[in-house]
Amino acid sequence: MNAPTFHDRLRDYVSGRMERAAAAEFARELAADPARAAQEREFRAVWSATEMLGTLVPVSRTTWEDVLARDARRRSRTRRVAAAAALLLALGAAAYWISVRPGAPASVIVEAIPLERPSRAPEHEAVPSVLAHYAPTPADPAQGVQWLSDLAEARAVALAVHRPVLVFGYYPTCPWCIALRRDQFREADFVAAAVECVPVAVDLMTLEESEVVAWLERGYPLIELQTAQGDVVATMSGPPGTLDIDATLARGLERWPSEPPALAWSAANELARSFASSLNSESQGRLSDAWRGFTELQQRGQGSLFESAGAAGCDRIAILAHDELLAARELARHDIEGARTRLAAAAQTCAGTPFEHDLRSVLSALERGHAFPELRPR
Amino acid sequence: MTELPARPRLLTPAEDALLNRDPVDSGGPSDVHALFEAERDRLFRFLWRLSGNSNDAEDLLQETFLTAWRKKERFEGRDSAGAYLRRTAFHVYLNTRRRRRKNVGPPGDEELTMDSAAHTAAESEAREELRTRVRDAVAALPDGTREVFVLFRFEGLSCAEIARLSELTLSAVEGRIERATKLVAARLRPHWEDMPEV
Repeated sequence: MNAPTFHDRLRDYVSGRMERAAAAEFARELAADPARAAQEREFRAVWSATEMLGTLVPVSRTTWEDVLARDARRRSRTRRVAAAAALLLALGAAAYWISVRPGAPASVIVEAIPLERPSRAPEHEAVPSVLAHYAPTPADPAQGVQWLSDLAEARAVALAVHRPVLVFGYYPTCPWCIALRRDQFREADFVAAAVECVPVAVDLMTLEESEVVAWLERGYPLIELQTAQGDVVATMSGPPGTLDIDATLARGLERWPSEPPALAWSAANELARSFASSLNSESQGRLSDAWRGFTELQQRGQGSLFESAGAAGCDRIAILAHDELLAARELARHDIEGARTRLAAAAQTCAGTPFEHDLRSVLSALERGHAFPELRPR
Repeated sequence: MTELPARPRLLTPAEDALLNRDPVDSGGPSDVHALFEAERDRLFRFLWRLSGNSNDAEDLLQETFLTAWRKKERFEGRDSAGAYLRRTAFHVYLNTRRRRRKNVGPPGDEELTMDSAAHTAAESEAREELRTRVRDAVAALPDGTREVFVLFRFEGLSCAEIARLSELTLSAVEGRIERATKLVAARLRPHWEDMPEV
């Protein structure tokens, strides 16, 4: 049991509860110690002042029934809180399970990427590169028309611009041929008609013997108006003076169908350059630029080869996105991280194209669900 | 010197009820009910002095009885049931204060029943003014110091008992009593002449 402290004794002394002998001894102690004596005076004053608070007797209104009711409320609240906590826990667990469960991927609606791969990969050699800068019209009419020298190339150009091919088969040392190129082919009427065609001068020395025989059977020097497929529209073959070349050529051009209309050489050059630029972007992996170029070609080259060339370019990019998407899905069967990396790279490659969004959606779903999502067509 | 074991004492029926762990929600064992009736006013006064108002004190009182029953294992029959309840009430008050971060003091401006003799209107007014000053002086004591002062001044606990109850050292209790005394005295010093003499 602890001995009374100074304050215990001080309280007993001040309140008068201390026995007389003990009080006398405590008084002597205080008299001998001025600090303690000052403490006693201060304590006595506070004791006296707070006496009136000690006499206040508030009355409690709490009853035994209040205590029992509070206990009942507490138990009810505890049950409700426990039930709510259990419900929240269950909901949280369900949400977590749904978000991370393996093997139950989310679905992604694929907006732009074709889920079925086109059976034929579109080619992109249809537009001859020479068309980017070629036109038969001479800078100086006295120079005569600008002849191409490759028949296949001329036919490709003819297909692109919806014009007939003007074929001139010659031997370089043939006097007739030299005379024709020097004189008649530089006359204004001929030049005016020839620039409506795709003129090609074929050196017969460069052909196989069998081909030469077949050509020569149709006349020599061979001058024909042909379709891009090689069908003869008009022939002006034969020694000079045999036929009126200008009149025959004019009649042949009159028979040439007006639909689809021939592309102006300047427009064809511009479209061809745009196509070449888009093709270059595609080959360098700048698919956003390529996509934009091919799309413009589709719009501007209505009804022409450029339209289909633009569409083919767009299709190739779509196929690339398709292949990457399906390759990532295949990879995800055994390597989720590899699939994620591949999708991220594909999305980067296709940035700026309509396929980027699909790839990023799938990537996001894969990262959320740790599984490759189910792909659904729009 | 070896401390002698506490002298055995007879348990009251209420203390027996606490030790027998009778359930309180079965309608209330009559002995525990009797304990409540016996200790209610004393505990309420104690809690009222600590919390500063009747509403909080009523709330704390109910909580005290529920807590005392829920944790009756802590009552081992060494102390009286009253001491056990006061100890419980004090900890309920401290926990509530910590939760609320509320600095409460002695009684507020509420109508109280006085056990002192009736006074004239003028005397009552003067006493009321003094009472307000004293109440404010005690209420202004810092947390921790005020509780020790209330236990010492109004509950009559010894410094050792306060130390055990508050889990403080004896010197810390003495220090807080001394500090409380100085703080209250400093606030009331200008009004010493109005105060009743011991």
